[in-house]
Amino acid sequence: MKQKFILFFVFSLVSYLMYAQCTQKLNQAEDDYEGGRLLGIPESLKQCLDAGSFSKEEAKRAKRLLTLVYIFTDDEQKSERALIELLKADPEHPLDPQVDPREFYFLYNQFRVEPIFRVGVKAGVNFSQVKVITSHSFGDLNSNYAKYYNGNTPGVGQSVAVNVDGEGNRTESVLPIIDGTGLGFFGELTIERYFSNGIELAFGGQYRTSSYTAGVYTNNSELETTIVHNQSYLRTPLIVRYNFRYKEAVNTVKIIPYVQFGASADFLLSSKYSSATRNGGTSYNLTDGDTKARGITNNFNYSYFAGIGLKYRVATHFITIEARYNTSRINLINGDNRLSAFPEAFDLSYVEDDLSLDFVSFSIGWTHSIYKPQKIKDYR
Amino acid sequence: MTFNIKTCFFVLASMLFLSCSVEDADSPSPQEFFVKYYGDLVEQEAVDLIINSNGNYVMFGTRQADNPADGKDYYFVEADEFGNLIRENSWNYTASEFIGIEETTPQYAISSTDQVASKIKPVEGGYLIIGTVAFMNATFVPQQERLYTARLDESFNKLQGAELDLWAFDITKTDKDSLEANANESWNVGGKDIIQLEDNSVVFVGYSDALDSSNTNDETGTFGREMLIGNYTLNANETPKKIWRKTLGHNNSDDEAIFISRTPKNEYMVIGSALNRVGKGGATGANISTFLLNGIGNISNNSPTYGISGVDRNTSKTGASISGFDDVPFNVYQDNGGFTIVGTSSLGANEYAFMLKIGDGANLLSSGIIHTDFSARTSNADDNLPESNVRGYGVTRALDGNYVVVGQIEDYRENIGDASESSFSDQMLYINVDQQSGSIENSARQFGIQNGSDKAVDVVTTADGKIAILATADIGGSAKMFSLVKMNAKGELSR
Repeated sequence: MKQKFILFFVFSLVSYLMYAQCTQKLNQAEDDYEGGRLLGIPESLKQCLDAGSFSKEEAKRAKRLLTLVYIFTDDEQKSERALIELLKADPEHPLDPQVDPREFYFLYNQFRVEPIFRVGVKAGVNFSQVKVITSHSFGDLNSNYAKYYNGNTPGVGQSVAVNVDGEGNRTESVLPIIDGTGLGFFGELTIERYFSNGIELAFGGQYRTSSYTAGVYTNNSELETTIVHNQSYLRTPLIVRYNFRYKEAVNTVKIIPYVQFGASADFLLSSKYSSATRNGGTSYNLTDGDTKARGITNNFNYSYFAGIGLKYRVATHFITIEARYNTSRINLINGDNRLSAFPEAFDLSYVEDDLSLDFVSFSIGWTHSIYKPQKIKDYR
Repeated sequence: MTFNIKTCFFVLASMLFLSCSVEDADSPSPQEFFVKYYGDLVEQEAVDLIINSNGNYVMFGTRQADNPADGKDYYFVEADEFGNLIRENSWNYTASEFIGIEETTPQYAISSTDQVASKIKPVEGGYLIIGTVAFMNATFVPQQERLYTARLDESFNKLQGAELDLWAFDITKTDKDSLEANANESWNVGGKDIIQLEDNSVVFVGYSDALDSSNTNDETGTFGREMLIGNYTLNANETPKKIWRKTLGHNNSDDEAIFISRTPKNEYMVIGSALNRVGKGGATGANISTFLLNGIGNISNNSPTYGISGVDRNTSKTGASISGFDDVPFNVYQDNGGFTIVGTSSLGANEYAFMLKIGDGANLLSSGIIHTDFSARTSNADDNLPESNVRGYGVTRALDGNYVVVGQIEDYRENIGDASESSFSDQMLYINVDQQSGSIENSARQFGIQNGSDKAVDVVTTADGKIAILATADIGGSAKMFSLVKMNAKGELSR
């Protein structure tokens, strides 16, 4: 044990001495560069670079210094290689017009310094809202007992007052029905590519779950049906995004606001009633509620969406927060099978409306930049 | 400035996308899904369906009064072409109007009345209804039935004075207004169908109990229940007046009329049933009885009685033909070709829907048992289970010239493979029948509530060629609702 400790101590001491020595060499090399003594610099830095004895910041300084040395010694090939090494160590290395010579700018501009693509990962919640295209009901479509979604209900004792007078006459007062939203979740993986002028494109896949709860009172408050319909989709979002002040942000600000819009082809993975119950008369519960297997739902949809978000730069990567509004464009329900594949409709006193789902979603994500610095080819 | 222009551009572009309305060329229009329930969670019994002059569906039946002790009310529902409720109404022919019987026989002690619905007919300014009023004692045992008819306004309210009830003493009074010697106030009188004549008087048919040959109004009866036919005035603010009234029937049989209409020769066609009274001789079982009457109710020469013959499904493998069905008609559809009668033939515990066609002269055109493709058997090898019973309740003619019969299939079971089955209890039934009264293969459809005793009771062909069916849907817990179902001409439930 004691021997191990001594070995560790000795190793640490040697490392520290080498590190201190390399730092000293780097400082000396920078002094030599300022003094115009360029020829010995590469050799003095090579050993420390190869040994990895610089800290990250020192390595960046060393590689920048090497690039400058090779530029001013007219060694084009080595300057390019040195710049590539610099960009690998410090992607999107910022130039400082106060310090960096024009020759460095000239060389720098011949290289692709932006990431070749980014990988974005997002996760969040969505709140679905049912948009009814055409309403269908076992009850009267014009009555107070309309179908409602995700909302407050005119349930007995809540919003409906049932009064029976001494002669047995019955009256009910119904309060307005308020639709609400259903809760779901999603995860998204995108490949993103920045083009120019703040515009970037993203394409990827998204797994989204959603649900809505439909409630129906057929003719009166005592005949009540409640359906919870769950769906999961594999989506393929294609996104056009505009980043505000993207270029300036590289060097100055860490927060980049953006707006985006896009479209997606959506493939239904599953669709089912997680619960389907009718109360009133003899209560009825549907046990087999796989609406996808029955063909009650359409398996394909497409959607548009728009959103706003903020990117927070962490080095060359981003943390994102985003809000989107998504609207599906095709009827979720397959009208051909709405009833023919659903004989239990009579039992539930329920039939699906023609409807689509809109979503408001909120997400948090991480965007990872992938770099491959390379000289831009000249095709003249 | 650049920032602002781009911002505006994207905001506008986003708004443009989101403002697009959802369009789906394949989404059905509202009328293409058409299954409706009407009523509350009480017992409602649908009986008759018509389309009125506004193109609206009018449904007639009964419903349990809000206070169950008040018995059953007549119940009316009017719905637009999409099935949306326009109005509903219900009322009771109150027990106080039957006080006469209590004065005559106090022990009856009438507690409530049950209305029994039969037919509703559209007339100018409203409707005619006919049915029966059964009044009950404190334990809801019917003590007497009376024929009841009334003229209603468009909101299904009775017109003042335009209502008539007939009971046994009315029928058994002789021309001298004295009662028959054997008259009994507990005899039943009921109403089944009604038409209005050009002079606004009405002719109704039904039944009346226990007349005997000494009754000078009883042309053919010798004991037993008789068909009743009467011509009365029935106008608002007037006391109804008898123009003429007859009873008809066969010797030693219980006769009931269910239908009356005019033939092209202005005769009355009366169709009903004749049930042989056990031990009294006469025809076997129950049969379909027809009478052609002249303008004052006298019988023409041709008044045949028909029975249905067919093949017993339980012996069909041997091709054995059977006779002796009890054939009870339930509904009649009239068109240019004559009269199409549907009902139920029974043999023991087995019941079959039938269709019988007769011409305007009551001549037989075709008849037959309606066979469905449904079987209660869970596999072909399982011959011990009987096929489901089928009852015919309504008929109409589709635009393709064939007929649509609706009714009820009892204890419908669906083979779901591996000799297992899914039970649906009693279901509504739809089936196409050709002009020779033969059921069309694979046309039968069943639908309804899985655990309820549902039955389709009437059917009409709509102007767009579809089929509208009135049914009673049993949702359990003593709650039955009116159900209006619209199908396409193939018998497929609209989406």
